[in-house]
Amino acid sequence: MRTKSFLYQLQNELWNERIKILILGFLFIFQVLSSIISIFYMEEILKLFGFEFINPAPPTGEAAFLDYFTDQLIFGLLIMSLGTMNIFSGDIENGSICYSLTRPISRTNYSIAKLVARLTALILPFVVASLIGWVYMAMMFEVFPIERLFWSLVILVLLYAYLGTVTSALSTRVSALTAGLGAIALFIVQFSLSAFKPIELLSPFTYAAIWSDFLLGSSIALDEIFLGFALIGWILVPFIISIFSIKTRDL
Amino acid sequence: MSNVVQIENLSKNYGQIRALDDVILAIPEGSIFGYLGPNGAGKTTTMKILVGLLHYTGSVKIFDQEVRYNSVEINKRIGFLPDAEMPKNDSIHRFLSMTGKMNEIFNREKRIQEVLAELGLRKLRNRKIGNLSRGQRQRVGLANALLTDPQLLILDEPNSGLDPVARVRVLSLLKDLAKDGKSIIFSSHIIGEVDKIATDIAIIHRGRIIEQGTRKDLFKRYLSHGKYVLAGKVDREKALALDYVKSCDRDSLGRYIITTPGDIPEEQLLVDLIQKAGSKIKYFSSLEFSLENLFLESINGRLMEGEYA
Ligand SMILES: Nc1ncnc2c1ncn2[C@@H]1O[C@H](COP(=O)(O)OP(=O)(O)OP(=O)(O)O)[C@@H](O)[C@H]1O
Ligand SMILES: [Mg+2]
Repeated sequence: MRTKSFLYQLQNELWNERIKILILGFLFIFQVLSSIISIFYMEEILKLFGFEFINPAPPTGEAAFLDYFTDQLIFGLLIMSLGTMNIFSGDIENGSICYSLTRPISRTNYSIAKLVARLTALILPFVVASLIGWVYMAMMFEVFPIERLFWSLVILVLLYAYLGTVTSALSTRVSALTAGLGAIALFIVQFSLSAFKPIELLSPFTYAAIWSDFLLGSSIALDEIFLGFALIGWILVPFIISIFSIKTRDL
Repeated sequence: MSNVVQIENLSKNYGQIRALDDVILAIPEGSIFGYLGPNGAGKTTTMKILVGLLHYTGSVKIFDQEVRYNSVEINKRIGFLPDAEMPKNDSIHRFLSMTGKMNEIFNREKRIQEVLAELGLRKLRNRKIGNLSRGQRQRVGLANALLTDPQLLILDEPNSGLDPVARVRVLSLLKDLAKDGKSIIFSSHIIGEVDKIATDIAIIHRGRIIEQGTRKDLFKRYLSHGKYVLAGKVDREKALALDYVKSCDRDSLGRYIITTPGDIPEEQLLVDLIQKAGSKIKYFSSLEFSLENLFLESINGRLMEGEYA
């Protein structure tokens, strides 16, 4: 009964996200393709319009990878915080949560269903688009070892999940606008923190960076790699806070 | 008869605002319980507590189970109509279907058809809730509450936004449900409607229950002393000094309501006595019992400065 109502809720939430999934799918594919185009074809395109384009360093797999990584991070920051800023506050403010929560479902299951559905809706299109883009790149240029691609995708997904869960946690208590802006502000602060030595540990971006260094083949101490796993903790904490916050608040 | 709902020492604060203050309520099984009170009195707050949407202090038992710990279980046997918006993007059918699935109701599609027909929504079945009129949305909310054929219905202003025909139909629907042994709690600002169907009544004002009982009880209590309404220039102090006058208050229409201990020998005598005590009476009559009078009077004695009156 409990799992059943959870599954119904999840199914319902995913259905509600269907348009988001489609739009984001196209958006991400467009974005992936555009970054491929800019890396590999820009020279030719510019030539087409009669520009003389002197590329100081011809594109390498590594450069493309880094480029892609940072592009995605900034794009994802916006998508994730804008995409989750109303996840709870929307239903709470207009009161429709009163209908959902008087059906036989616990607040915990309700929150988990919502979080899972929304995170899936935002992240799945990105994963699919990335795979499409990368397979294409790999076929065209044979520059990426496939397991490196896979792991970097995992890191990005984890970072996205972090961005989404933090915004969601805020959304359980404040308006969508405040949650969205607050989350973006927090991420910018954390992003800057990751540049400074002792406080860098307060930023999940540091852990992501450790992993990407590792993937790019820099030499990294073993304990640092383990530190990278802390990224999962950074997701779990706001996830649990969201559930707890919905559980304890008045609706 | 046992009580479906037993509320003891229920209090609720929203930050600094005390929305409910030591509420004690017992709602007998099979009753139609009319919950009255001015805007902001605490009706919605009470109902939300009953279905587990708000945290509270005190004890709230439904079907002999404490809501605080068992709200998911209890809610399976409750149909609730909140005073809130519905998910705009769902179609009516989808919305009801979700409630049906979660409650694992038997023969879901057939039951949905039934409630849709009952509330005159059959043709709108696939329309998006966001595009419906206010009254149509209210009907969807009612359909949703009725769908599981619950033992207890909790309806926050079920008739708001409905047209006159629908109002009458909903009232008779509720009456029929009570005949089948269901209990119903509903709030309303239309006293006439409460008067028509309620078997039990409570009046809440500023978070406190100020009147409560069966319709009969209230009727008896109200008439236990004589009540008269008079208009004119009344010297309140002097009138109150009379043996026959127990209380003398102005109501919101500017009239004076006088209560006497028990019945007086003759009405004219009272009029004469009050006139002699320095008042000029233009109009005098005994006050009949009506829920409306009871409501206005019990609220009126408690209005603070800056409120009506
Ligand atoms: N979420 C909230 N935050 C703060 N105060 C609230 C909240 N909800 C209700 N209140 C306050 O609690 C009191 C009771 O409100 P409630 O909604 O229960 O009144 P009501 O009897 O349903 O009124 P109405 O007849 O207007 O529907 C009011 O003073 C209201 O302002
Ligand atoms: Mg209300």
